[in-house]
Amino acid sequence: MNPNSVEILLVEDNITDAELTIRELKKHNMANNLVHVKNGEEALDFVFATGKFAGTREIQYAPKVILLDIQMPKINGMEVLQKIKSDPRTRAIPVVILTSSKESPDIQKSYDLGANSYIVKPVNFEGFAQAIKNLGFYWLLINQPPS
Amino acid sequence: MQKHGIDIPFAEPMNFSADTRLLKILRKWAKYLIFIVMIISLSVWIGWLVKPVFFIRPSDGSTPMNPLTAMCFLLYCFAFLVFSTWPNNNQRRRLGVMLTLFFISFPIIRLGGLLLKWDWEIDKIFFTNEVEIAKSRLAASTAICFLFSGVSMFLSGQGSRGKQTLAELFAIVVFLFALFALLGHIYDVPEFNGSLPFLAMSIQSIVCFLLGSLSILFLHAGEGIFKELASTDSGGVTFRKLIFYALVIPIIIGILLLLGSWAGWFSTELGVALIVISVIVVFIPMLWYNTVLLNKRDRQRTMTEKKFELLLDAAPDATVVVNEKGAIQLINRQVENLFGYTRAELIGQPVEILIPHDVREKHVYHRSGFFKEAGIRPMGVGIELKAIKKDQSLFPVEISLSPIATHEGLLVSASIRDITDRKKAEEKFRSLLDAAPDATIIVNHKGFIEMINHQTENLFGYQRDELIGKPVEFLIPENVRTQHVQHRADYIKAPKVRAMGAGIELHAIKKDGTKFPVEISLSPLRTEEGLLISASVRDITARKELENELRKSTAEMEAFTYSVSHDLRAPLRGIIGFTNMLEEDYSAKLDDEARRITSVIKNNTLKMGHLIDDLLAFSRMGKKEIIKTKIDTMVLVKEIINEMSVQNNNKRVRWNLGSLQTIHADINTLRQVWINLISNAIKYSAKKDEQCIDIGSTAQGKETVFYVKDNGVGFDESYKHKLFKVFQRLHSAEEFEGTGVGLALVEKIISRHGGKVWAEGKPDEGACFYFSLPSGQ
Repeated sequence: MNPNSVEILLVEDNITDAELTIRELKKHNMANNLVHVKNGEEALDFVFATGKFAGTREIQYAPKVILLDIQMPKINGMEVLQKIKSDPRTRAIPVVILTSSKESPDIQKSYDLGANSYIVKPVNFEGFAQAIKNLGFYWLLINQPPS
Repeated sequence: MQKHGIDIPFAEPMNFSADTRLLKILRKWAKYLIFIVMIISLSVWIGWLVKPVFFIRPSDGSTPMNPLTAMCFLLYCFAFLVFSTWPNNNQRRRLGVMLTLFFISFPIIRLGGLLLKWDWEIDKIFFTNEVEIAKSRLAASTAICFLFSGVSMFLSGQGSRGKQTLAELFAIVVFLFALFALLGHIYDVPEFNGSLPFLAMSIQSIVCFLLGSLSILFLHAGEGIFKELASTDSGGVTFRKLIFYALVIPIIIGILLLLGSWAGWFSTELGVALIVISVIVVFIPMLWYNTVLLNKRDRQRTMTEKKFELLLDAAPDATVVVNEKGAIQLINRQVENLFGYTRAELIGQPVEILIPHDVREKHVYHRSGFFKEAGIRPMGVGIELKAIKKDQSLFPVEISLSPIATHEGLLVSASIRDITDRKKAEEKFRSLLDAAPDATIIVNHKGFIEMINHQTENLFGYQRDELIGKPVEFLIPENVRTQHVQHRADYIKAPKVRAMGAGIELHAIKKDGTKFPVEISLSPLRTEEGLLISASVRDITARKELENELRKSTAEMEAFTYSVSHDLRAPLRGIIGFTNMLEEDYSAKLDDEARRITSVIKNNTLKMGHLIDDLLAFSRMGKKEIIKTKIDTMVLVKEIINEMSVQNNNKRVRWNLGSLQTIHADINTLRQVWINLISNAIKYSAKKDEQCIDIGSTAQGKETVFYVKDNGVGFDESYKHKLFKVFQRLHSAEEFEGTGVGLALVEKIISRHGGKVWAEGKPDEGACFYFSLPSGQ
């Protein structure tokens, strides 16, 4: 996979959730250009082309969407969101918060930091599958990304 | 504290020196008179120069004034003017003395000459021939008068009472000499030209001496023996009224009788008898007048004294009047009653007899201090004063002092009030205060601490006397003191009872500087001493700590809820997701039993998910804010029914909607109540062929009661106490699915609105759930 043509960056520390998410996207043929990173540090390295992604890709080839979990060790989703949204080079990348948390302060805070969408992953499989399918379609096919 | 003493007429400082207005007039006249003397002597001198003129010889045959006498008079006048104009200037005074010595030196030389029978004829140094012709000599009496006048002038006005008296005596002698010489002239006494020539004086000299000695007497009339004569008291008044007559009447009588005698109307013997009787006749009315006046004054004084005594006795407080030496001068009856001494036992005794032994010495010191700086004042504010009775028992007193200026010097009237009863009442009040559970501080309207209880000492770490009399801001942290003064002033304007914890965070400060949170209640006390404010102070440090702990554990609880919400749901999603993957990817290998098992796994996991969601909703309810708005219940209920019907696959339910009253409540939580109750009704009546649900409301007093009634399975009323408890269910999950949180949530929401929930039901006959809400806003 060409690291400069990534469409989806999935940031998720829970590998079970990650597997389910990727599986649903694959079902609809949307996971071909997907990169999965397991923590906030890696996510930032990817987005800003630093650390282990230094030299492998260029910052201006942004993913079409970042699916971001909140609860993560070390650098959590909120910090990742804040860094991306406060840098003019990455500010335009759509960020979808994909989390189990229904807590309202998280929702409010995410939008304040510039999240483009906030999705609570349902426990039941049908709901979850539907949600992933919809968001994939929307951000990859319907939404017009910044050029 | 107020002044308790009575205002006695004596208390005004009395003028016990002479009448000041009179003295001023006299001083003015002293100068006028001396000017007349000056004019007379000057005119005599001019008379000698111009000669022979009327000036030196007013009538034919009379002796003219010697020119030396005239010069002496001029010097006399100058000396007088120097003394009177600069009474306190030593240099000028020396000039006056020199002038005096100068003018008495001539008469002394003349007198010496007369005594030694050798005439220096010093009186002939001016106008020698003319003097010889006129036989005008400086008379011995004139010389003596000059000498005495000089001495008098010298002694007068030196501020010493003895010297002044002596000066006045000399002046009076001069006056009498002159008067005698005048009588000699008027009565034409033959001896003055015969055997007693030294008594004769020229008529001008007589006038000059009369006026001159009056001047000397007038100038310092406020001192010496004249002080009494010039006083405003009855003696002085009488003297001034009678002196004129005492001088003039005998002289006139003498003239009349002499005239009669010369005319040969009666013999000399009869004349003398007539003089004597006339003098008696004149003097007796004068004496009578004097007697009347003195008697009147005396009676008035006795009356005043009597009145004063009555007043003193009528005073509610024991009153003791003490002189400068501390000796008791006067007491009233209350003193006798209070202390147990008789009047005779106390009068003349030092006042310390009434003062406890241990403070007597100190009192003597304080007493002399008070006399030095007297003023009406209460004694020992804030100090416990004690007095001692004859039987040596001590009792608490309150004392106020007022100074009285009198003839005998400064007196002090002390009003003594026995405050044993008040102390007892205070004691009772204090023990009541001490019995109060809270620290209580009583503050007066000026913000000063009047009283505190034991708990205050314990709480703040101060001793009682460290706080009494201090402003109450003493106990308040420095940064809010100024503010507090303003608050206090506002409170005084509209004092009312203010209960503990009126929602304000207050702090107090201990002696060691520790700040601590308090709750304060205030209540005004109206007393005879004015408005007092009683403040109960409660240390709420422990409660604040508990509150903080509670806040902390609430925060922990929130964090816990958060992690439950996030961390517990993720694995559930994993279980369901992966079971699903199993079903999808291995469908060919799974038989029916395996599919049943995977579906059980999924259902249970799903149920766990619901349980978590409900639990979170329930716990979140506790901290959710209730915002009341006007809710049209009918609209709300219909909306919910429609939503339910969609979810319920449009299964036919017969809805009976009664009246549904508009209510003020929090729309989000109240919607949850209706959803839970209506979904319950649908759920528990689902097995009936015809589902029938009644919804309505009734007004009951100040509340509105809403109900949801179904014709479902109902419940056994013996278990109804478990209906609204979390996780308590009256049906198994196989019969009716559910988590047992729904009704608990309903109960919580309604109770947070200030309402109640209850239910009625019978097995298989349906159930009815009620909730009440306050009708008003």
